[in-house]
Amino acid sequence: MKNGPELYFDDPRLHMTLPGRMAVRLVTFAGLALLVALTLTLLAAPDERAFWSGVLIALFLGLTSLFGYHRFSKIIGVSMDLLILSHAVLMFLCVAMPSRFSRVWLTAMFASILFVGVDFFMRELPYLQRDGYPFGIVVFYLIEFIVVIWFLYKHVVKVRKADTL
Amino acid sequence: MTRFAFVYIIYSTFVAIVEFFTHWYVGGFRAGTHWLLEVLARLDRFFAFKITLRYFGQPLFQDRSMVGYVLGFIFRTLRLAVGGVVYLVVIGIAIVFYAAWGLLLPFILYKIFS
Repeated sequence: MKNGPELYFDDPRLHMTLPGRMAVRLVTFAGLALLVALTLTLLAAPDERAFWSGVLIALFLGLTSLFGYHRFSKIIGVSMDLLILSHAVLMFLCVAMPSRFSRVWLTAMFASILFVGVDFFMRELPYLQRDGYPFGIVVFYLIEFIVVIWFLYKHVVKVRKADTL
Repeated sequence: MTRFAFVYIIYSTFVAIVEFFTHWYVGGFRAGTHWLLEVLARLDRFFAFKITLRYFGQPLFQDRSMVGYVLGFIFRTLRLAVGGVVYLVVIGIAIVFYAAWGLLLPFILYKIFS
């Protein structure tokens, strides 16, 4: 008599031959590398249609990899705060990509992050006194606040002023 | 059929595309709804909309005099009105956000093909 449900794992790749599995890996990784290269090229292109195509593929790659990571982290039992991760990536982009084509896009994202930060402090501020509250998160959001305000000032206020002069 | 490498690659590509749209719309809706309910639950600790509605006909502080009933009616009505407006605004913001989220992909496609 069984005590619990029988657990099993099945995947089509387990039934493939070695060359078959190799082919799947090669095609998958080569395809991903091509897509990343294509995305970066399209995002940097001056043509507007190419740029938006790059945005679409970037969204596809980003969302797919995020959910892939989420699934993987659930399987191995280790999880990372994806929200924090995405914020950190955006902060990096803010510093590393100040070029013109990405400015509008990044400004929109940073404005949304600012709202998220405001939302965080509005909702979590009453709980900050609680024992064992992760202080690092508060510091992280404060740093992010400073970076976001700096970014918006640099790329919106300064540029607007320069345009009007 | 998916045991064949070529078929598996085609199949997994198709699944990835379908999953992208599923995550975007269904997952986005779930996450948005979760956020909205969380915000409404936190707001309800302050506005106490549900409890005020339940005890709408009751006087404040169990003062069962005429004044207690009148004041209870006035304050509870005010509380319901303010709470209702705030809830409607929050729900409206959530709807606008989800609509913008949902329209982002068609907008990008429009920008590509226009």
